[in-house]
Amino acid sequence: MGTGVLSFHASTKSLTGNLGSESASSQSGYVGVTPVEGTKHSEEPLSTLLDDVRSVYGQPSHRLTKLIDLALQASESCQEAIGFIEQSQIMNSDIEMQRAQSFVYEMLPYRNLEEGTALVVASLAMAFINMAGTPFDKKQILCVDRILKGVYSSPFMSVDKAVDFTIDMEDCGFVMDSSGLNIIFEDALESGFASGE
Amino acid sequence: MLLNRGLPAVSKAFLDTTVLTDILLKSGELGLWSREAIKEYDEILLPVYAMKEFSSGPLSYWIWLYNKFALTKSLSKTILAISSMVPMKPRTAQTALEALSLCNNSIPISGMTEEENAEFYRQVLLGKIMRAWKKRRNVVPGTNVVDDLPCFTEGDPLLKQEDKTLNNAACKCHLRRGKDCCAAAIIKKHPDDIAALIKAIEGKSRREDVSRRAVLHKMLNTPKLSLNARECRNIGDAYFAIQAPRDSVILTTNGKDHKELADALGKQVLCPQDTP
Repeated sequence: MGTGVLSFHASTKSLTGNLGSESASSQSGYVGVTPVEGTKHSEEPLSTLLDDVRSVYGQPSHRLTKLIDLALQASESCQEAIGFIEQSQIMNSDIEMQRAQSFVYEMLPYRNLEEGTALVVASLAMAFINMAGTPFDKKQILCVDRILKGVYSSPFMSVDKAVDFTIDMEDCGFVMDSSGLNIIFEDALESGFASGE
Repeated sequence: MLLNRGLPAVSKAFLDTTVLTDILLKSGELGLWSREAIKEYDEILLPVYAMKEFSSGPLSYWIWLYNKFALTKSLSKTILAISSMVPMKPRTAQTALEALSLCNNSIPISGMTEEENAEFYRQVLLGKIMRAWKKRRNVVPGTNVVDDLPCFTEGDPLLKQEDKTLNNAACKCHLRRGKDCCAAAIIKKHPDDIAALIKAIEGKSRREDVSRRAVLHKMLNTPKLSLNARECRNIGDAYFAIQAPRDSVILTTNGKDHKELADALGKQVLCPQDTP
């Protein structure tokens, strides 16, 4: 069984959720798993997390296992990166963040467990794309790590919770927009789209 | 002061819809002026009317785009849908092609199907839309939301689980039978200002000036008649000119329209053209 680092609460399923409200997040239709602040990743090996998952969901699917495993590994890289950056070893920190980026991209095919989970993993991938190779600062690495912990400890995430995570990312300077799509759409808006001009 | 060139120093900013949109929906270079401009002020006043316009305008356009991804499940079909909505100028077409190539380069893993690509963009857009809506009342810490409009319901966008489409119909005016539009009730308290604005746009033939003049005339000459939701929308920039406190500056990226109205009432406007 688990280490007690996760807590669980039941919720009910709803076809149409009110995404902006707190109450809607409890309508995700899945059992939520809430991380406890300040948990060190090294205390949460995959087998322990999967024990916790098993106790709530039954036998975890391949998709769920892979997502948790990859988020766990990406988080591990973030923690290494934080250690390096604290010793001013910027290059080594960046190497670890490159690993984290690779794990985040690997998470993409497994993200569709719940709408919020998919949203936060896609946003994380987009944030990495928009960094365009620029090294992460400590605040940003800590933010990525918080999100990865959120994913592996709460793999069935509500949209409301996911949006909070992306607001945290935005506050840390991450950009989660698609620049290409923005150019196309903003240009269309300026050309009179929707105004009939 | 970095931005307030030639204007008396003021510490309050009254945000219009363009600035709210820049801050909530644009990133990088786009919207940079607005994000920098609000840092110059001690107090940020955000009228609910700006949120109302934001919801029925820019936010609803991004929801349209989001729904295209959800329904077509295709990046190329979504781009085609955008281009079919506007007469594409040659420059725009070129920009679109470059942007499309940027989109394709943004896909982080190879071998994703067109539907998987579209799903990726749909989820990124869902985050953008929901984040913007969630932050609307707190564009910067300490934002002071003013001029509440009881007939306007700030309903959250709803996600339909079956087809993943978003619907922001819950966010709209709910005028009660026989009750006047709340925005109109606020504006009608200032008949002298209404008259000054009518004079300022007298003879103008642009569509928005014609419809604004008509609604201003109605409020001035027949104040007991109620305004409907469409007429409320037509108040537009006149709302900001009348409601901005005299010790504030109206922040906007649409300086031309706002200055014409604000000047008539002796109020200040700051727009990107005012800054070097």
